[in-house]
Amino acid sequence: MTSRSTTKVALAAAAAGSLLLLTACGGDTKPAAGSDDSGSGSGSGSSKTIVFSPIGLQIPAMQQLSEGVKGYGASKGYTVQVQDPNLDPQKQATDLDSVISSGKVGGAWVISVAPAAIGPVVKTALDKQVAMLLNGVPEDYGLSGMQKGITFDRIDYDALGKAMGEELGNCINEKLDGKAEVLFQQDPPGTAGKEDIEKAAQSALAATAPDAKIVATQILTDRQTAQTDVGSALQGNPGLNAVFGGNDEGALGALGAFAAAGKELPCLTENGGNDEVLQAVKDGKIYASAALQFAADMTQSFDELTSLMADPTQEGQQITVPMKVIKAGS
Amino acid sequence: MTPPTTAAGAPALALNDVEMHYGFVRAIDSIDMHVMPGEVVALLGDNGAGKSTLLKVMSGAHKPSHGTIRVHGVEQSFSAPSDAAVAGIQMVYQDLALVEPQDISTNLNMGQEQLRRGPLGWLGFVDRRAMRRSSEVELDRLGVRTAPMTRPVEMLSGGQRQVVALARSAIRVNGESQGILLLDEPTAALGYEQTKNVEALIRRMADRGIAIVLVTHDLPLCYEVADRIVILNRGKKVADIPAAGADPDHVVGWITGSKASMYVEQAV
Amino acid sequence: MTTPADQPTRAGEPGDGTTAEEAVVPTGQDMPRSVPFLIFARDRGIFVLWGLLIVVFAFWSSPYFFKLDNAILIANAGALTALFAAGVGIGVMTGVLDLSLPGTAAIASCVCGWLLTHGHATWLSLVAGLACGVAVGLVNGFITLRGFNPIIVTIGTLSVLTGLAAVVAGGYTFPGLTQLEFMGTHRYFRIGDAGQTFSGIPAPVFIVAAVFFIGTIFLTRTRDGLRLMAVGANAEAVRRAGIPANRYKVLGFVISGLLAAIGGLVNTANVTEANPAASPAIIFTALTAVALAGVALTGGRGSLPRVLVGAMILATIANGLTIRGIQPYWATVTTGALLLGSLLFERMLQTAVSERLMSANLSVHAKQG
Repeated sequence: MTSRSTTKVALAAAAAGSLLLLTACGGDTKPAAGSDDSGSGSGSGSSKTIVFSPIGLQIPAMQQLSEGVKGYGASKGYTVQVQDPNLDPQKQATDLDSVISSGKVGGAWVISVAPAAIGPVVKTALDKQVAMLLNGVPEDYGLSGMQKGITFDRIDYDALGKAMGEELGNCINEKLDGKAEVLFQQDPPGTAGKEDIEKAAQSALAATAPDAKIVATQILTDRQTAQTDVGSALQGNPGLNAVFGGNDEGALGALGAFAAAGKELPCLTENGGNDEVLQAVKDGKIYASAALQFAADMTQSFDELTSLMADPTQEGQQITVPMKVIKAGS
Repeated sequence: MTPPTTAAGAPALALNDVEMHYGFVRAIDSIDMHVMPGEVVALLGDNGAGKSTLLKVMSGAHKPSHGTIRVHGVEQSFSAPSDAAVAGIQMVYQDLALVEPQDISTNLNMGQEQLRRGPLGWLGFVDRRAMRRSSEVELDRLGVRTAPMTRPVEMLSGGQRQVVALARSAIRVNGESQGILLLDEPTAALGYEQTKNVEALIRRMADRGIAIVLVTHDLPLCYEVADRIVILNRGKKVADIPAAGADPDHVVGWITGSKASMYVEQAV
Repeated sequence: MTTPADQPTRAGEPGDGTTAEEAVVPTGQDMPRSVPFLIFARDRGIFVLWGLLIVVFAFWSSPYFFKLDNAILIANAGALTALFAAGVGIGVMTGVLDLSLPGTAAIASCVCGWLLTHGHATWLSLVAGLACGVAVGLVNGFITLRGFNPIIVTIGTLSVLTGLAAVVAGGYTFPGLTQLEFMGTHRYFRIGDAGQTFSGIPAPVFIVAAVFFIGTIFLTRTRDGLRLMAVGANAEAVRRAGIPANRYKVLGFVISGLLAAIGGLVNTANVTEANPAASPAIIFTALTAVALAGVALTGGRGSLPRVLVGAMILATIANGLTIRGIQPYWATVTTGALLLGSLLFERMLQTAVSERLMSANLSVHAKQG
C-alpha cells in the first residue's frame, strides 16, 4: 500500500471510530435543530428553567400563549425556553427529550400534538424528577392514574363540541325558523379530540334544531382550499345556509366562499377564536365562537407547574382548560 | 517546414510548429500543417495519436503551448472557441449539438435569429418565415434537399441530422470570408447510404471554397473526399501526402507506426 | 427525395447554375402519413381528455355541474394551481426543477402583507412582492450556475424562505388585506343587480389568462423565448452557437420565481390573509398538472396551454366530485390514475411514431430518382 492510501484508511477509521463513540455517548435520539433557545442558562440554574412546547407556533393562539408564558415566567424569576414542534409529534418528542435528558430544564409545559409520541419522554421526566404540565389525561400517555410531579390539563372536547353544536342550533332556530342545510367541516384524521368534538357537536345540533340537516361534510386543510371547497359545495347544494366551522381557517374560508358567491351565510359557529374570527363575531358575520382560554388559564397553570417543580414528590392534579363561547354582544 | 504559397494565395489555415503539453506529456509535438481554401484534408491517426487535441487547438478550445496559427495569412490567438468562430473557423462535434425538439430552421438560425421589423422586433419577436426562407436558400446553395424546414430535428434520421449539423456550420462560415470547417468523425454513427450523402455534401462544401479538416477512422470516406491526407502518430506528424494515388498499406503503416515517419532524419 | 407536397418553395434564384438534375444530396424518404396524426393525438390529446371529463361530470353531477357559474368557479379554483404549474412547467421546460416555489410564494405574500399592514400603497406592496420573486430566482440561478444540483439548491432556498417568511410575519399572519380584493374575489363584468344575470368573472381568471397568453407568445415567438427552450433541451448546443447559455438558465429561474410570487399574491388576495406557512403540497399539485400536460422532465419541450389544461383538469375533477359529495381523497386517486394512464398513452404513441419513422427511413432506396 502506498503511503497515501494508508493515510486515507487511517482517516476513515478515525472518522468511523469517532462516529461510533458519539452514538454510544448520545444514548437517546439526538435533538433535531429546532429548539428556540431564549436565553436559557447553561448547567447551573436548571431548576429555574422551564421548557414550553405548544403544538405549533404557526397557530396565533399558541404564539400569543408562548409570549405570555415567557413574560410571566420572567416576572416570576424563571427562564422559559420555547420550542416549536411545527405540528410534528416526532419533532416535539425529540426536541423535548434533548433538554429533559440532559437535565437542562427543571420543568416542562407541553401541549402535545399526539400524546402517544410523548410517552417515552414523560417516563424520562419522571425518572429525572422533572415536573410536567401535560394536556389531556394520564391514559393518553400510557400512565394510569395521577402521577407524582405531573399535572394534567385536559381539554374538554365534549363540552367544546356540545357548545358549538348547540349554538349552531340556536342560530338556526333564531334566524332560519329551525330549518337549515348544514355544511360540516371536519378536522383531518388523527387530530386530537376529533371524534369527541364531532360526536358532541352533531348530537347537540340534532337536539337543539332537529330539522337542521347536514348535507355536506368536508375535511379541513388550509384556508384557500377551504374557500375553494366550500364554493364547490355551494354549487352542489345551493340551499346551504349554515356552516359548522372546524377551525379558524376553515371558518374564514367558508365566509370567503359565501362572499365570493354573493350568498348569505346566516349561521356559522366555529372552534378557535383568533383575532380575525373575533372581529367577524363582532361584525355579526359569525354567530358564535367556542374558544379555549389558554391565556386566561396560563397564570394558573404556570403557578401549578412551578409549585410541582419545587416539590416533585407532590402528586399532580387534573385540571381543565376553561372554554368560553363568544357571541356578538358578549 | 513552411507551407507552400501557391498561385492561389495564402492557406486558409496554417499551423506552424504547434505543440500542446499536458504536464510532461506532449499531446502534439511540432506540428506543421496547412489547408488551402477549397481543400479537404483528412487527419488520420490511431487513438491517442493527438487528432482530437489538434482539432481542439484549431477550434480554439485549447491554447497551444507553442507555435503559431494563421488564418488566411493573419496570425491569430484564440482564448475560446468563440474567437475562432469570429475568425471563420467552425467545428462540427461528434454529438452534433443540435436542439432536438426544435425544427430545422430554428437550428440553422440559432444565434443569428432574424427579428421582425418594427415594434414587434424590438420586443424580440422573430420573423420565422424569413428565417425559413433564408435557410432554404442556403441549403439550396449547398445542394441539400432535406425534410421541410418545420420538421423537428428529433424526427430526422441520423444521416439527415448530420446533414443539418454540417449545413449549419457551412452557413455560419460562409457568412465570413472563405471559412474553415473542422469535422470530428462525421460518419461514425452512419450507415452506408447516409455516409454517401455526407460525402457528397462535404465535396460540395469544398467546391464552394470552404477549407475542411476531416478527422476520421473511416478510411474509405477518406479516399473518397480528401485531397490530402495527414497522419499523426504519438503526437507527431508522420505523413502528409496527396490522397490520389496513396497506397493504403503505407497509410495503415503510418497510422499503426509500423512504417517510419516521412520526416525521420537520416542517421549519420 | 421529398414528396411534391413538401417541396420547399424556392424564390427562383439560380445563383450558381445548379439545375434540378445536378448532384443534390439525397436525404431519404419522407414522413409516412400516419405520423402527423399520431403527433396530433399526442399534442392535443389532453384537450380531448378535458372535454371528456366535462361531459362525464355534466351527466354524473347534474344538474349543478354544467352551469356557467360553476364553470367560472372551476376556472377560479384552477387559476391558482395553474399559476404554480406555469412556474414549475416553465422551469422544467428550460431545464430546471424549481422546488422553492412555495417558499417564494410565502415570502412574496408576507412582504406584501407587511407593507400593506403598515399603511403603504397597494401598488408598492404588490411590486415589492413581485420583486421578491425575481430576487429568489436570481439567487437560485446564480447558485446553480456554480455547478450545484438545482434540486438541492432549490430545496435549500425553500427552507430559507419559509423561515424568512415567518420572520417577516413575526410568527403570525397578516389578516385583513382587503385592499387586494380587486385581484382576489372581486368579480368583473357583472350584469344585472347583484349579478343576477351574470355574476361576473373573478380576477384570478383574468390574471391566469394574461400570464399564459404572454408566456406562450414569449416561448414560441420571441428570440429569447426560443433560446430559453433551446437551453432546456441542450444547453451545450446553445453555448456552441455562441449564445451565453448561462444567462438563459438564470432567466428560467427568474421567470419561475416571478410566477411563484404572482401565485402567492393571488392566493393572498383571494383569502385576504398573508400566511407564511408554505405548503409543499402546492408543488405536488403543480407537478401533477405539468406531468399531465406531457412536459418532459428532460427539458426543452412542452407547451404552456397544455399545462393550463392540466391544471383545469385537476380543478374540474375536484369540483365535480365535491358537488357529488364525494370525499376529496377520491379526487386525488382519480388524478393519480389519470396521470399514470396518460403516461402509458404517451408511451404508446411515442413507440408508434418511432416505429413508423424508423421503417420509413430504412427504405431510402425505394424512391430515388
